[in-house]
Amino acid sequence: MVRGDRAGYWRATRRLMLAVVVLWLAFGIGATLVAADLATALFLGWPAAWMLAGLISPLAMVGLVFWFADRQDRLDRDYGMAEED
Amino acid sequence: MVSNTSGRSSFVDDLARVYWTYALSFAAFVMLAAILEQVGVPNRVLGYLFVFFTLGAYATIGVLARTMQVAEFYVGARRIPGFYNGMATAASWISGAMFLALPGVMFTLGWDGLAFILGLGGGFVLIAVLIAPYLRKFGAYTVPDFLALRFGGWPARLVAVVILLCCSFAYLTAQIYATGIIAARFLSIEFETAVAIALVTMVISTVLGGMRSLTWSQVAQYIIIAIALLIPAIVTSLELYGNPLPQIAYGEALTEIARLETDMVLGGLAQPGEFTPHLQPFATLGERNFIALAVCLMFGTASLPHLLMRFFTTRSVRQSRSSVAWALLFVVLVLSFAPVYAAFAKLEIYGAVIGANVAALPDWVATYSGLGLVEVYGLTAEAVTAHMAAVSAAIAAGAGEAGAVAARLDASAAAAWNGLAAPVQAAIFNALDESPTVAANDVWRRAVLAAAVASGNFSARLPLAEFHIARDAILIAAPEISGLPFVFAGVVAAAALAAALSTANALLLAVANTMGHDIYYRTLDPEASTAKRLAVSRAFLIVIATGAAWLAMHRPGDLITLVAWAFSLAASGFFPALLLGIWWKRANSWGAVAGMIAGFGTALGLLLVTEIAPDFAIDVLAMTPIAGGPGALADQSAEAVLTGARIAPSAAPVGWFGLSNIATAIVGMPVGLLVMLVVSLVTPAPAAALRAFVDDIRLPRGRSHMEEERAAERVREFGRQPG
Repeated sequence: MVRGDRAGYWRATRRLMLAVVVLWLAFGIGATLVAADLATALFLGWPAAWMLAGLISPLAMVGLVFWFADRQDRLDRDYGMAEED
Repeated sequence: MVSNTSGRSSFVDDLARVYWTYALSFAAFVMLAAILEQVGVPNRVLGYLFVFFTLGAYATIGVLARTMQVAEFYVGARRIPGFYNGMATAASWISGAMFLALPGVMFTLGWDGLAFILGLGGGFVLIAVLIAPYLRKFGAYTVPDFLALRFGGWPARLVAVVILLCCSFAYLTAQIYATGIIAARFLSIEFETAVAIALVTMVISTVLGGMRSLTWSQVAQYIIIAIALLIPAIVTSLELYGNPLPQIAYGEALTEIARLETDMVLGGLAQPGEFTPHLQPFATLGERNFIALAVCLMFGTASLPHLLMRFFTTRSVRQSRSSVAWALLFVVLVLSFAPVYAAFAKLEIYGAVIGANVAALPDWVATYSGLGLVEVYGLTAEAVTAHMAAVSAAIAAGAGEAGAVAARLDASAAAAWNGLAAPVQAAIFNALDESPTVAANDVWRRAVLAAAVASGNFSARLPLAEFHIARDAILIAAPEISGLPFVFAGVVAAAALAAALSTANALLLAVANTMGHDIYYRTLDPEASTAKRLAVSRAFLIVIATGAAWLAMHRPGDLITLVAWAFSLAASGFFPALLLGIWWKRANSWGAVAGMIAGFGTALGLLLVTEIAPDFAIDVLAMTPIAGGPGALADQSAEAVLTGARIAPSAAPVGWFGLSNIATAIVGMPVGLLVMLVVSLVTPAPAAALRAFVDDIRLPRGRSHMEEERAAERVREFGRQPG
């Protein structure tokens, strides 16, 4: 990567965006589709369907946004596009 | 307050100290109230104390924030840190209706209620990745401002303003309505008076506040919301499972609920079709409506202007991203309590109430029945208390037996009395005849027992079908179910007020900014001075708030449905234009205007048709009636029980492919997106200057567009660059 390469910076940003959106789809919608098949399963004493939609998915989304913020910061710095503050 | 000379870290330390002091004094205040309760101070007085303490605290913090702003001015332009901005965002996003209703919705819908948790949380991912950093770089005042600049001119601005006003107005009405209900219930004042008080409080706090000082009181409001949810859940979790982490411990409660459901059916206390199996996915909403609802809430969250506005005020583009992350963390923390409360309440009700002798139900059941929130065999203790007054008067007037009471009552009291079964009448009459000072709850227990026996239930074990609890009582009753003093119900009420107030403030500010900035300054009088713009936006704010309060007084329907509509309208109207405006340079103004009108129009049209003319929808639009579905949400809403009128389910039972209108964005948003794509492609590409503008907002580096414009404006207004 080259500092000041605007096109390269935007390509990398777009790739990161797509990765996050795919993960978001997987945790936000995908998880609930799987849940129907887990209706009676148990996991660590929890009903597995509930654990997936009620605990794992929301936590995964929190983690996803923190991860994204960190990655994008690194992109900004690496390409020399970060703010001066 | 803050004598700040040594830079940023000490400013933030001071903030932390202010909020810790505040949180501890709130805890001390709750303990004091608990002591007062034990000494015998009436609940109503305690209710007033709670309202005045919390409102006083927000006002104090608002004033302190003004001082801090002065201090801040001298040490340079550091604005709101991401952590606090996230907290304030969470407070303005968690509305009063949602806070109060979500545990009840989870209780009613079981697993399917998780659509709300997933949908409400998931939208923040979209904000962080797709929207917030770019709007922050643009440096807009309002969402219409961004759309107007990106899509060149007044048509885009005007359409955006109309959409913003529609969804904010629906949402604001829900907030004022919720506040009115809570205040009416806990302060025992008339609903209309409570709405008027809510209106005045909301307007004053927004007018005095402004964006920054509002942020600080919203942080204070978030702290109250979190405390109110944490304490009862932790106490219950410790009592039941010895685990101080309720979000982990309630997994065990869930499996127990499933066992109790089987036991109830085996014991003949419930029929299999009578209740929602708590753990079974898609049992109430169905798979399609579940996903549609979650998707609409996600995209709605990413499009609501009063929420997006929060990310305009962060220190930098970088901070706007971490702000969203913190906001999501704080939102998920609050949301994660909803299934916990629903599970604990269900465990208690299935385990200790259903199947118990109706004359010996737990005390909390009698307490909340006295508030009109729990009905057993069709009787609330509140109604029984009203009958007691009438019967006492009739006995004083010489009635010698239950049958002689009606003749001595006025018409409406007599009609209510005659609606009771004869054995119930006799039970109430005899209780009062034996002792005029008998407690209302005891009379209620005897009346319920008489009703049970009269219906042929000689074992007097309470079946599931004869027990009804108002949806919103699930949260309010939780402290008492876990054995905490009644005063904690006051904490929950104070938190619900905080949630409603913070959301209303954010909404009013969004509306006022848009009217003052977009309509007045940008459109009507571009030469207006800053002071004049502020005055105009405040005048608009009062008009809009009064209008919403007027509508709230007419009890517009189920709250959670009203809120869901606001999300759908915002998603259909704004999301395509915001998304493509940032991510697709080829998008032009014709496409944007057409897309916004088409998306918003489709969503609004679907709502109106399904609500007002379901027959037309079936005959002409080939919709089909929907069985069950989210329409069932309205049945048990507290406002239906509280305001005495059972409102007909407002999520209309017609739609395409069985999709309820609670999620109209599932149609409206794709229509908007498609129209915007097609119209943009068949009309000329945007000018080079606009493409450069898009390039510019994509880079975090450099001055924002609006900063440059503001500097130019200051030159015009004062004839020089300041400082």
